[in-house]
Amino acid sequence: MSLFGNPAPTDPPHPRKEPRLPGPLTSERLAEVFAGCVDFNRRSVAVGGNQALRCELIFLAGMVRMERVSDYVLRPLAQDKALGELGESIAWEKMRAGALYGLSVTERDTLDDAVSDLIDGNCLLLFPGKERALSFNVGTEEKRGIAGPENEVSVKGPRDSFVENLRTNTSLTRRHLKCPELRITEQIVGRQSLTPVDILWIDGIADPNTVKEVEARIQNIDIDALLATGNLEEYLIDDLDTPFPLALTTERPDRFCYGLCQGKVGILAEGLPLGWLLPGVVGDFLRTPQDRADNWMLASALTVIRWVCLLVTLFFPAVYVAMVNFHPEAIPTRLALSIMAARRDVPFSALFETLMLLVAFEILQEAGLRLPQSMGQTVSILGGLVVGSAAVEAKLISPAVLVVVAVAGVAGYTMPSQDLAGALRLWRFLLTLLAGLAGLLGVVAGAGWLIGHVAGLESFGAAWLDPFADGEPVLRQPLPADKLRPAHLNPQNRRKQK
Amino acid sequence: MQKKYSVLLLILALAATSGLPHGRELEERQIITALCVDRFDAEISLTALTAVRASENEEPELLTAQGFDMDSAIQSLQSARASQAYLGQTEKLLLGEGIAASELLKTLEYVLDHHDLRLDTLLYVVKGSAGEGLSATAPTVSGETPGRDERGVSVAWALSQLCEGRKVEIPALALGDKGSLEPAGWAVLAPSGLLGYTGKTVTASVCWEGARYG
Repeated sequence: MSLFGNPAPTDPPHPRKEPRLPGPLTSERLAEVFAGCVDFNRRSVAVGGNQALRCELIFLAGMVRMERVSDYVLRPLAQDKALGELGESIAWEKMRAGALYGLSVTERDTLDDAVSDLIDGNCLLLFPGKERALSFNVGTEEKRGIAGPENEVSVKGPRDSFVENLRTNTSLTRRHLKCPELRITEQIVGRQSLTPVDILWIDGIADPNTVKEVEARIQNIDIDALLATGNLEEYLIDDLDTPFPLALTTERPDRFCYGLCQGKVGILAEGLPLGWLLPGVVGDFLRTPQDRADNWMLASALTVIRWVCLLVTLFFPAVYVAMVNFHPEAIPTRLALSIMAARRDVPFSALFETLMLLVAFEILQEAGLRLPQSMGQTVSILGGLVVGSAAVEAKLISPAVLVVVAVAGVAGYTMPSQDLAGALRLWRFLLTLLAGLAGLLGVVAGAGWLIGHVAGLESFGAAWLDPFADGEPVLRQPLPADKLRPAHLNPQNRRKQK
Repeated sequence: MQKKYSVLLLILALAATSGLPHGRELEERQIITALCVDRFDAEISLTALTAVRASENEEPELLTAQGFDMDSAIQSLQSARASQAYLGQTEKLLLGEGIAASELLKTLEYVLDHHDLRLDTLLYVVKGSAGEGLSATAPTVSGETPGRDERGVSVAWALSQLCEGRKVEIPALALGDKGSLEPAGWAVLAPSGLLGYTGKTVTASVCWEGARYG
């Protein structure tokens, strides 16, 4: 048994069957495809009451809206006597042309297309013996209502967020960006899930090469099902050997549209209430939608605080361990005596204490995520206050380490991106270990390693350390002065305002 | 594979060059706030004053050690107890008359070379024996006005002047009537050693950052 799974198989993936479902498009064949499925429904209908002219209506219960099937298809089919007096061919043409009340009617002549339509929530009308079907869009629109964003809360800004329904998400995008140059193309990902994935960009702004690259990478995804964000993200990014995020995800349509206006390429997927923006660089993960709502000075100050918090969350525990173990001369005497008094009778070394508390912090965080909301807060309070206080009183840990780890943890929570915060948590452990090994020398070596690592990251041709790489402003300028789109996106039109 | 070897190499290099043997827990160290150096015949005698928190009911301790040279005396001081005497926070270096006259540069260069002793340590010359003066002063140190001695001369500055062949004046102390170290003018040091004392007034009192830290 290996830690990271079995070695990659040597045999190639199964070739895709074309067509996936062989055979003619008949109601019998459809019944075979859905044999045993309790939601498969097939009924014979006399057209216009004429028993000699019968057709079959096929649908999947739960995928169609019953009222639409009854009102838009069955009722005119059964009650339009004129329709029943026509021959089969003419009746077919009339039904296709609008004798039935479906908003969209498509003629299907392959089994694959017909089955796909059934699963999408269409109903099919077939005449016996004819290998073709009329497909009516009568799908149910059961979906989660548009609510406020849960993770990207903004005090002053829109309160809508993406939902699981792809078409709703594209409509939210179009409501924010009414330009006709907004392009939305679609691909299907997942052999079993057949998940539609939309690629969005603004023609004339986004770099066409980036668009092509995104399309190509999505085209290359050959997986079972697209059910989690990783199923898409890990196949799109340039480098998997990094915990740092290389694609920006957002649940806010306004942030998504802002990215499109900047020249990024967006991705939306059915079933995932998120949008991706590519490329993603470090500056994106340290900005919030609230920044453009606040005064530019306040937004800049908050951005500086976030950068400082990034350094604090990364280095504070490591520097503490380094100072206490290797460089106590750098600690003021009073502080050193306080730390010594606090650590008296604690049986563990500073390094072990720090690592132990960092792990405990992660455990508390993880537990808080998994628990139901009603219990989560109670457990967090219990874990944080009671266990922490009890551990200090029992002299298992010193208050100094508790403060250090708590400050580092809280500083990590200021990161707007949870993906970035997760990467920083991992590196925090590594730097602390290096500090315990070699003091500040270890911390500096670790910092050098980290900088070397992130300097080598790229996202669709853009350096991850932009804005430092390109000389873009780190802080927020006043919006009237922000006249150019970022250079690293290579937009076709750099100027965005006069 | 190359990346894994690079990481392993980095860790080994860090372990080898980190000075890992010098890594000790903070509470395993005894902070020394003042160090006195005297020469008695063939021996160097060290007297060190420890630091304690004002909120704790402890008195600062006096540690003594001897050795035939500074190195052996320091090692003797550091290994005398379970908690290592830590010289990285030493703020005052008091030289007795004897050693200031005969081995001034050697002593100061030892401070320069030592990995813990700091170059911003303030230098004083004590008339007579520095250790005896400190021993008498230690019980009265508590309650003194805290703060750094602004007139103090650092080892770094004194050494730089002496190495250029110049004379330097540093505060002199002597055991006063009250039984504690008091200002006693200025000691004139030259590269050859202690030359003498001037009578210039220093201040009314020594700004002695006591061993008790409130």
